[in-house]
Amino acid sequence: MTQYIQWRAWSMGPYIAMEALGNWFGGLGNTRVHMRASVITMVSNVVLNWVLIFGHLGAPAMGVRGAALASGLATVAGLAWIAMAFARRHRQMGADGPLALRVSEFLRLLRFGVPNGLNWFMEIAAFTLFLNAVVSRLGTTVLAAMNAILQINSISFMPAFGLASAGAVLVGQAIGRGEKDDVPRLLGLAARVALVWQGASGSRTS
Amino acid sequence: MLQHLATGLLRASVSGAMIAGQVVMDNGVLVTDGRTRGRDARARVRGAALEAHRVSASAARPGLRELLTLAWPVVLSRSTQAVVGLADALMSARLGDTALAAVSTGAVNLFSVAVSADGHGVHRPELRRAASGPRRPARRAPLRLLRPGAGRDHHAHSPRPRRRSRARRSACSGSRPTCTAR
Repeated sequence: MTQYIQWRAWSMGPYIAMEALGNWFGGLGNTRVHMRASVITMVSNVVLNWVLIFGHLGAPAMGVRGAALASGLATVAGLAWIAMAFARRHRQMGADGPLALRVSEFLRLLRFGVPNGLNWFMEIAAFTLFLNAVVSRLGTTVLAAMNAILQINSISFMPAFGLASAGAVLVGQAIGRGEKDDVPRLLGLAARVALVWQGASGSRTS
Repeated sequence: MLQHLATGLLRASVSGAMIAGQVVMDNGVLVTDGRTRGRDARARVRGAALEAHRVSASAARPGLRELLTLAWPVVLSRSTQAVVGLADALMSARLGDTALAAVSTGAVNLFSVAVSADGHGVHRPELRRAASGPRRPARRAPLRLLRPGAGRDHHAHSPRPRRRSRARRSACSGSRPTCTAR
């Protein structure tokens, strides 16, 4: 695991940059750009895994390190694509020139971002702690099986997260239009659709 | 069958509450816009409902279709992230249980770190401006990199685009970044 993390950790920067740019497009009501970047990442990852884990096309067989490197390089590929889309969009908006960093706005960003980030971190960390401290004691096979099942299971609740993000976009736009009265309706709509989806997927898989 | 349905409904209630909570938190962030938080934020969210008299109901308000149009790319995007992890795990599985456990656990651990610096806090405060249009001069926009413009993306989901007077349109024609007659 240490080997994997050592070879993968560097790609957290590109990953976060890709998320940030994806959210920028999402804020403008365009969630498809991030989707395309994610698809590029996924396809690149599969191809690079094949090359780097098993040593095809003249590359060395790197095993676990290859898997980590492949994921990192795939993330960079996705970032490159979305960065180009951002640059193109930025030019279309007539905003040529350097992208200067303003300290006051950066601090404002942190004021919003840090509590949100910590919220997500605490949610995920609690689960990660359970995996590392409890499940890992049950043996390597159990741990591997548990993680593989978690990856598959995550697909069942991804739509709910997608609905939450879409609801947030619509809510933000409603507030931006000055239609704050529409917020409870949109909130209820997103919650109801998520409820139906989770009910259907839960009854299907139970 | 009944047992399946009951389990599904139980899961649904938990997930629904989770998603509703997420959207409420997002609303809190959006409504506060960096000026208020905590109790004030909640009061503002409640106050939003009380402002119904101020804006008349519009047939063009976003509904289920708009929600799903925005949601499906996010769903696909998130799902591909799960597939990346799954592909790592499945392809490493041929190297043995130890490799599989290392890859899958390492990915989960890294994700917990990445998510804390994720972009969840990045775009939400900007949504108001994205929807409300270019009210501010371009040079004052946050980070400039995050500045939403008056482009296609904004108007695609803005059912009631703001109209400017002829004088203001002519004053702001072209791409003058410092035009303030908006």
